Amino acid sequence: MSFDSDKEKKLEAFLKKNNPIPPDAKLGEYQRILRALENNKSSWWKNISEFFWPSLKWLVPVGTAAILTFIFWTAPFSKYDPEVEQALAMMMGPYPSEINGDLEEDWLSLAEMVSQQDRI
Amino acid sequence: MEKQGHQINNLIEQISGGNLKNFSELYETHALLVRSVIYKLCHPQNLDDLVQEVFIKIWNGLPKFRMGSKLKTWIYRIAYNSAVDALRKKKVVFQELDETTGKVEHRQDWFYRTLILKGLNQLTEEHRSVLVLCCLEELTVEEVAEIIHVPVGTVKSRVHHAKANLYEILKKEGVSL
Repeated sequence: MSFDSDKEKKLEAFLKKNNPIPPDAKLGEYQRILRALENNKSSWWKNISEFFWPSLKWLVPVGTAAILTFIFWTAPFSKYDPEVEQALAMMMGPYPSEINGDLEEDWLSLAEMVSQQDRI
Repeated sequence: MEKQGHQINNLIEQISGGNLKNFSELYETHALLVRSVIYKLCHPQNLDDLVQEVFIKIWNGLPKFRMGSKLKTWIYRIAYNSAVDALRKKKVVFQELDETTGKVEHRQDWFYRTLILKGLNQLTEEHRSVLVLCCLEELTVEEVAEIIHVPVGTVKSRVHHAKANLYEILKKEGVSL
């Protein structure tokens, strides 16, 4: 069924004539609004800029990443840190290469002593 | 017109500075408008709460209000958004229609107004919005487009379909138009 301009005009007139009217506001509505505004003002978090809360979305991950980077950067994890090297050396004792090195030196000195005795 | 704009500008500046006295002026001028649009859009039991919510939003939003748009349109937009939000969050409890609702002089008037509200409730949210704003609040199509953020052509099309639907609903209810 088509809805022509004649029906449209009749409906518009009907709506205009019988436009619903809202019930009256309760007494003291404005005072209630003022009280609500005062309460709203006293809550500091409601006065924070509206841009702050969306910025938390990126502030939290970026801040966390920055803190973690700082911790790793300053923590003594590097193998080139002399203090770490020293601590490791104390904990683990001499390296096998050092032991071998000592043995090699012993053999060399023994060989030298033998050759000196031979000459004598 | 320019003088009126200047007055509104002054009013907004004073309210933004925390002047509650001037805010009462704004409230008195626009309270009925806000009340009316919320009542017709969602017909809630908690109408007073929603009106209060809208005025708090107006108070908080005024410092950011741009004079590029009309104050009335801006207030309509806040009221419309609050009503739609309340509907979507199901914060609205529909008020039972009774004879004590509204200022009614005649029983027939009350009957027809009730039918219109019932008819509006049967429409989709999109159709109801444009019908309330265009036909009942008598805003221009351009103003409605600005309020609900859709193109003018879309508003025109929705108004046409909304009217056709409401016409059918009213006819089924026995209203002879």
